[in-house]
Amino acid sequence: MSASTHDPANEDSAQVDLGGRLLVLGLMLMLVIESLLATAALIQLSFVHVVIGIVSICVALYLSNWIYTGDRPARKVLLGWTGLQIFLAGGAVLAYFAAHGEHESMRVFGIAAPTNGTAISLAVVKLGCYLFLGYLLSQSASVKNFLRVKAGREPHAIEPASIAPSGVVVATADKDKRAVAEVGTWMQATGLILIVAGLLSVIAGARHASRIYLIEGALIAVLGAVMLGPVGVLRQLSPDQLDRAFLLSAFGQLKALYKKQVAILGGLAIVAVVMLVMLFR
Amino acid sequence: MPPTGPSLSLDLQPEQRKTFAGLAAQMKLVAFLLFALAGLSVILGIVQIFQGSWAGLLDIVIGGLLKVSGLVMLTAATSAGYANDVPDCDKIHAFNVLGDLAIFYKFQFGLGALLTLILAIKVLF
Repeated sequence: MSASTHDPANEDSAQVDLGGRLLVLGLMLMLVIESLLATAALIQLSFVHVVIGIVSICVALYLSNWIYTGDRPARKVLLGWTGLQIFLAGGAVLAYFAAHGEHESMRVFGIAAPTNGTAISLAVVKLGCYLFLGYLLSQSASVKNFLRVKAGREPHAIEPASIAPSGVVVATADKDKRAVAEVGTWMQATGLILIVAGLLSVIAGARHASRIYLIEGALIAVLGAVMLGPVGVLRQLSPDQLDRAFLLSAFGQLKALYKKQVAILGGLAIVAVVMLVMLFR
Repeated sequence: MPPTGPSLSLDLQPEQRKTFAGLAAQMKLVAFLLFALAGLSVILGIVQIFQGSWAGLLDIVIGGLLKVSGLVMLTAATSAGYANDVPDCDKIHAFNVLGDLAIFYKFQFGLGALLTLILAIKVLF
């Protein structure tokens, strides 16, 4: 890595710190959704589902403590548990729609709640929480490095490894430095809020048994997710000593992002046309 | 001795400069689709208002924000085009692209926040 870009030690430490925070967030979300499911089962007075809920909370707590040690098998076991829960939550959502919005059909997938709206909301939120945790455990380099450090091993260097630095430092004015610093931050914030909006639209669509809102929500969430793709490269651009190769790579990533965005926005435009047609029917 | 200031060029090879041409084309498509979505959103809002639902006003506001986002994206696309066409000043235009995109994402964030608020109300009530 060229000296013209970053301080690798600080960069690694910041990434490990971020990984720790993300992992705690993912584990907290898992515990919260399992607690909500157990509470809903209790309100519904479904003994079997209350027992399932309590066992799930115990398993989630045990796995959370285990993975925090950085033990390698813990990550695999938690990934397996996450996969099982994604299967159950996805199955519950599909069963709800197959039964034309009847929540009783979701009981076999471990979700018992007093109303249709509560049941489908819990299923969608559970799906989102476990997908997020699965992503962190399987894809996030920061989380993997955090676990390596916890286990007493050296973290892998996180850098745009595929890009060879050109060694040409681009001189930047204050205005340009601000632009470089801001674009990654705002793109990340936008991506995250669009994922939240998409999930809310999916929940709203599921509660009103409206497939069109469901599709719209899924598209918005995907739009948010693809937006997070170039954030890593953009945030790694150092405004003070900017390597030309990294700058060009960032523009290349943006081009790839907008290619995907065109397809998603096209999908959203079709959804809007369908909504308009439905208003006239 | 002639005065030497910071270079206005990134000194790119012609094939490296193609990144900007491709970026400009994709950005124009995104801007066009944002305009289309803005138009559809405004029509949806107007139809809803005529059908007696004032919730259509929110669609009109969203349409307005989409239109502004599209305009900012179009400005960024123009800057990317200049970065390709004017090699002597491509650095200025490249940074203008990033500046315009920072504004674009601020607008998009506002749009996302408004959408989240509306959907949260829809889910809760």
